Amino acid sequence: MNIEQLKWKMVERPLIPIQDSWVDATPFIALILLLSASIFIIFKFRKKQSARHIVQLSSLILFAFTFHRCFCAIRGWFFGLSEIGRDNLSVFQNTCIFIPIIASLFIFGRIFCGWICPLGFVQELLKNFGKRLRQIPKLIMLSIFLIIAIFLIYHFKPVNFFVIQNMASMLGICLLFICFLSIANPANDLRLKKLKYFFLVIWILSILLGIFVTSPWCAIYGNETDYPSLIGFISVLLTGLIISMAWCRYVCPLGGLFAALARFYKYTIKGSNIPSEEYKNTCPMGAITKNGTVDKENCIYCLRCTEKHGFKLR
Amino acid sequence: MALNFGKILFALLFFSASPLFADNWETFGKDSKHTGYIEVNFKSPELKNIWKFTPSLHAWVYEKTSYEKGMNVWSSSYATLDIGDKKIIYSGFYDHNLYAIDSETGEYIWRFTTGGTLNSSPAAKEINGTPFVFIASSDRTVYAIDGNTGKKIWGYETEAWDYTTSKSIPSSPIVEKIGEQYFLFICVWNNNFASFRNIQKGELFSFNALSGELIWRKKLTSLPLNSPAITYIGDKPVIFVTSHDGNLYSIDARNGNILWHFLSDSSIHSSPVIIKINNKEYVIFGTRFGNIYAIEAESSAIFWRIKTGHAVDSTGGFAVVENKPLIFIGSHDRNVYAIDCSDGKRVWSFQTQNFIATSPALANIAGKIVVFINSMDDNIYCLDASSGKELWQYKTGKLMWKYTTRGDTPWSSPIVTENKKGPILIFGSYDGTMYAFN
Repeated sequence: MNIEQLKWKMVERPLIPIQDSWVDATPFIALILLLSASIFIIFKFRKKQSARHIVQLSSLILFAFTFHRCFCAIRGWFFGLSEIGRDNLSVFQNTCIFIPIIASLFIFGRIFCGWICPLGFVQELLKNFGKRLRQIPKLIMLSIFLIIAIFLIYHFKPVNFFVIQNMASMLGICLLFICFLSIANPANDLRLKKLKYFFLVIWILSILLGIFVTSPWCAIYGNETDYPSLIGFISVLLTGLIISMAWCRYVCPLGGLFAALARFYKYTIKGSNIPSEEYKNTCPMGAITKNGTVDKENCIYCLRCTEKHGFKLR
Repeated sequence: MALNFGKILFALLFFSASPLFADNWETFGKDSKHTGYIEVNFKSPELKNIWKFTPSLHAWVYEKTSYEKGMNVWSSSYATLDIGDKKIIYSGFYDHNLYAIDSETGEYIWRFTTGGTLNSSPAAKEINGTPFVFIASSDRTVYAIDGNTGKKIWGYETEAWDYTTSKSIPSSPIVEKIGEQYFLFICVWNNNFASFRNIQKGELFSFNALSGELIWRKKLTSLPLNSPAITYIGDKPVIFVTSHDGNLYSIDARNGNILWHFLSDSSIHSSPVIIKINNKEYVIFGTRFGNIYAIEAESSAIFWRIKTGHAVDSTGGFAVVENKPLIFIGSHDRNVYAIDCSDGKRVWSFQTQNFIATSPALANIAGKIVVFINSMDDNIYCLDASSGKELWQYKTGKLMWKYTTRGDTPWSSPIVTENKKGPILIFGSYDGTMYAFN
């Protein structure tokens, strides 16, 4: 397999170079603008869902297809902080994303997940595409996906440094297994959501050990033929067809980090506290309980519940 | 009887010639243009391992687990020099020593200890009858060593030691004769991580190679720089340096003035290769975004650009194969590429089973040009330069450390040279062993 000619980045050279280097300030400015637009829409717009999708689409176009540089979370943050005093350009490049995301986290929690993250948006889109596929028994479909993923790993695995270089594809396989458990007994969903804390711990430990961890999105952000990332990405797409935002629910380490800081959010969505079956299909993350309360660790501030069921943002 | 006399006469003529063998692999990328091609001819692609060298006496001092970011097992490549009737290989190792190794036996003749690890290739050149070996260590010092005895001729500390200085990142040096004088050009990145007297500077140095006198030093960036390459544009000697800041710098070798700089798309860890097509010179390098650029040496205009699947840390090797000017370069997407330098089109690619971060050595086998390159899949490969067909491969051992941070280490690249017994391929593997094949 040779896909070296695939190019999907529209801008390859820095638009606003820092110190005349390849480090570009444009993604940083774009992220701040997108986050500001999201907050503005939350407070001032009526048709919030349409506006949210425009922000998500803009984010997808900008970060996946326009800017050439990698949008690295957690690993990049650790690396950037470790370079203070040694390499100021790396510090800026790796932490410029960290600062606005963490700042927004303390006000609006996982607003990044629901409004900016291109991977989340792609999964939301997949939920609609997967309607016909969901007529096939889910466990059979998952089995086929799992076989595909294992075949891809077998075919594209490097001959050595297996663990070090396969983090993304192993996360993809874990996601497929978790989806099995979730479909087999939907009551497991709440417990399985806690697994993202486990993956967060594994992720941080790996980074501290010096392992070059990659995630399913790395190949897309970086326009790279990085086989483990591509396999992980394919697993995320496949599971997204069956379970709404499966990656964000169960595995995403960045989501795990945000959820772990849930107690510090300033604004949260308050539920009606009235039990109802209507909530079941409203939240893409399944964050509304049957009793009408909102699990703030999993709420991504999409605001569907505020529009549909009159929940309040406070 | 007549035949024997002929043989004796031939032998006398052959061994009295100076230099004895093919030209030397002077520095990283073979010469000061980093072309990576040496006109040495192996008889057959069935290369056999003739010796191995492991500095095991010393490796135990520096625990195998003590990997530091950027540390290399062997210096990124080697340099060779003719000393008497011997071909000597010079190489740095992570045990802080520069080794002089006999290319016939694989035994070391002397070693010179520096104050830090040796992660970049040495440069070797005979100047006014003295065999010089130049190497920079992570102890911030550039050394000139007598290639015969291993004694220090001169040393230059690029930055004074302090409690807060970190290890420097030097490039491989080049030696060039400009006018009647030999110059040594080398890049060194120095860092002092103290808050109030913080230093982050990537500088290019010019020394009088004989005396060690500093001619000029020029700060180009705050990030590390790769090995410089030099050529003449008109009658002006011009140095080209690529940097981790994503720039290709063009510098007047006489005074260190920047002529122009070209900002690419990402960090550059590949050294520039200078090639000539239709009497025009071009500089070729790869970037961490996976692009390979060919830039006009005089004007900084882009001649062509090609995207590979992943980061390109490899420095290319250049040769004219079947009338086509080809550059051979490895990528983190696991492929070795042959690219036609006249139009930037891919001629062939060869896939290995892990990423490639090293630079090829080009030589001949039975009159045909071949590419020697190693991959992180533990193998060294020999490929036919015209078709990319695999001719030979050899599996070395596994990485001696449990892990490294991907992209931080300048892995060792193979070289080709020739001694009395014939052509020889030298390769220092990350398993801690230096291999020789012929």
